[in-house]
Amino acid sequence: MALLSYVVAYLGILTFGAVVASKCIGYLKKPVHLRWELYPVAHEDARRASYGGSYMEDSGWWLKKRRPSRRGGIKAVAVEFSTLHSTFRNNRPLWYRAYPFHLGLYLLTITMCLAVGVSVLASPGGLDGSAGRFVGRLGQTLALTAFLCILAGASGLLHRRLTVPDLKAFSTPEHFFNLGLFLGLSVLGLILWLAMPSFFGSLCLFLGALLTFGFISQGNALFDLFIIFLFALMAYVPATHMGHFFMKYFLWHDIRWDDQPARDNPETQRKISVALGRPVSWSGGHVEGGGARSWAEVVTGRPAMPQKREGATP
Amino acid sequence: MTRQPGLRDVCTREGRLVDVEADALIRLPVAFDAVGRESVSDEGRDGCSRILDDVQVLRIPRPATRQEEEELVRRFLDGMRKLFSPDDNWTFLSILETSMDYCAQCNSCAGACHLFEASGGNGMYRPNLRSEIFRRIYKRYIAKVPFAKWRYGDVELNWKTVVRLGEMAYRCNLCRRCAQVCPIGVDNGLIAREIRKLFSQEMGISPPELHDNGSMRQLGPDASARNNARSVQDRVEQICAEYSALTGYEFHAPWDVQGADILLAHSVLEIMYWPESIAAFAIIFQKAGLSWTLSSELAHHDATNFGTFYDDAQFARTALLHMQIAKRLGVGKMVLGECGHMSKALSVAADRLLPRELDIPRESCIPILRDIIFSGKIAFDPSRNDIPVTLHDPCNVVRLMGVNRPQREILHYLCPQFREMTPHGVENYCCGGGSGFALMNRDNIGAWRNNLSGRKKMAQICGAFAECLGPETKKLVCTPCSSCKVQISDMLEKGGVRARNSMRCAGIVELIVNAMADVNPGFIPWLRK
Repeated sequence: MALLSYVVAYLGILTFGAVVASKCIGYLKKPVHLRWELYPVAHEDARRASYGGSYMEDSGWWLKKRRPSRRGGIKAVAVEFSTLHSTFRNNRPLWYRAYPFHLGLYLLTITMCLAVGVSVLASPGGLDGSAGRFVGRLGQTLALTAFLCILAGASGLLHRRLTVPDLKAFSTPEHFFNLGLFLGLSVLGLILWLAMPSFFGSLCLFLGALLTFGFISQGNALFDLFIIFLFALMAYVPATHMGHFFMKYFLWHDIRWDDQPARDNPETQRKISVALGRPVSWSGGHVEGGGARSWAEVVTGRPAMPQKREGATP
Repeated sequence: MTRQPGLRDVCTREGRLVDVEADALIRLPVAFDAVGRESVSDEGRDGCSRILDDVQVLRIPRPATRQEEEELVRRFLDGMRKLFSPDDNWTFLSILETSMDYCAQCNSCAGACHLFEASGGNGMYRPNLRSEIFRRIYKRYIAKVPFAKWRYGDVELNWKTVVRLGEMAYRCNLCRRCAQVCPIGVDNGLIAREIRKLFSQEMGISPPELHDNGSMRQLGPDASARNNARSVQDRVEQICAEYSALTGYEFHAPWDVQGADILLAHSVLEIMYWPESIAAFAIIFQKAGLSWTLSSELAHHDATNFGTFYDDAQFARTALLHMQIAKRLGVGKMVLGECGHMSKALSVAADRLLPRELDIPRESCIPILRDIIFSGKIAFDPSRNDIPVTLHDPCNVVRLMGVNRPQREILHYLCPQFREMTPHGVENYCCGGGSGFALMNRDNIGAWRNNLSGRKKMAQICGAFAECLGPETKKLVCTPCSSCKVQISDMLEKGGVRARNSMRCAGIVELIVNAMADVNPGFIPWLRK
């Protein structure tokens, strides 16, 4: 069981990395899209970002130097990730459940990072000494809070999906399955936290062994099961709609806030040229693609007038 | 019929699916006369399918045989495949795919939709209903995700699903307020437009107002283009003469001036229905001493871009046509008049379509109007606009372009009793005429626009004038968009609000000229004291 937990952990990390990378690369390899921004755009200057203004509020904007505010973009993303501000504003009943859930996941991630830090930096003996004891208590507290938050959030979300008719009608089996997995993880984590002398200490030892290929058994089958559960979940989540935790970067930065004019960007102009050379195969009579003509050829010609088109006024 | 159609109902129910009862609609604070709806059968007219509700935007022939049903589904699936192809849909593929893959079904979008709210929470107007049906078909038939039926839930793909999905894409104004509130960034407005695209680009099915009488006439051979250039020029000259007499200020609209600094683009809607807007622009630009011109070629073809609403090929062709006209005139820039979608289409969406040589700068008219007003070149007397005025923000100009503050600076300066609607700016609600609906009236569409799609806006307007409703005080709704003006004026008129509450609608330029100190008072005659 202990060995299996290490195998699953390695596979989980590799799969997580591979899925995230393939999704990101897959997105980046997509053709350039038309501008489709939505205001407010966070990287506008602070004054304009506050009310949803854009550089197009200036007459002759193309003659002026644009200074997108990287700080504004980072700040908006930081606020959104840390507080789920958009849900707080627009769907408060959901926020009361989604926020603890997300907070729990953040805390669990921090706990894992702290455990990795301890296993790398601390002397053998781990959490001895006053500083070590402080970090140990901090890790224990973080882990407990994380599990409680995930438990509260996942049960709240599940309850909402099962009881609010509007949500229930649109919930898929995968929604329930995913929330069930997180619920299971938090329950298992809480049982371990209560049952083990130091859950965080065991986590440090496990992660240290994982990093050094030590394969030390923690001597606790439930802990091994927890590790298997945790890393299997880590591998699975990015492949589902919950992958929004990293794809949100593209959805916000590259779509919602993508206000860069082509005239300022030779790379975009090059991509547009490539895209216009792509073949068109739409069958609508007015498009006349046929798979042989390029977009450039189709859109620079006038459409032929059809004899009769469905949907036309008789 | 039902008020809360489920996902499976869309595929399985016989006959008309949804009924939107009049008494379920949100209440308005003023008496509002509902526009009568024509009673129709499920068969619709001319053998077309009317199986969603009592509105018929698309005219999809009802399949007569099993083979015809299967053929409809096959063509739909062919189109859907192309929507997810980097060749056929490079324009929006990345946005569409991410919207397919990452929706958490949290329903935040429904709370933001003016149609869902105005209908009293009718399930058909939930923005993610059509998206989720489309998503499930995509996962199962196009992406072929393993265990798709088990993971994402099942929908049956049959002719009823196809017909209803097509119609549902036209129960949306594409205002994208739903996308704005989505915590993830999923764009249900885009999905509705992509479905419209699929029907048009693959199946050749689209509303005649947008295609046959819209983009096809616009792009067709000269003989069938939308307008006769000479008659449009005559009309504009007549407008100039009438308003020169009214204002006591002699002005002209220059035509086809080679090398002018500015090419001013008006939609033909403005020229035909809002002559005061044409006159006001000419007065302001002449007074400010700008080098500007109108284009007879642009008037001939119309500066509207119908493709924006439903078809990428038609959109790109129209944008290129417009920019070629600007190029031939050798103008310094194109200023886009009071038309929201024209402004967005050319300023934003076409930005990544134009070859470098046609990338002539384009901008909304609002910033330049603001600059003129505060330049000191024209004297103003704001007391001429001393009535309650509120501003309707066109979605295209504000939420989708970020032109938000200049119009407010103008109105705060020129209208002493200016007040905002709630909410406003980027959080505004659509007027109800968005995405081409302002141009449609047939088959209960006019009734739908007036009774339902514009209802939330009407509630907002009444809210802005809450303390002065009734006939005693004149009130004005200002909006810098001709489609919004058509929609709001139509609602005020047909709903009886205009008569019972002394309320009218006008553009910003009319209010600007009405406040000019050195032209005769009463440019907006109705406002004259």
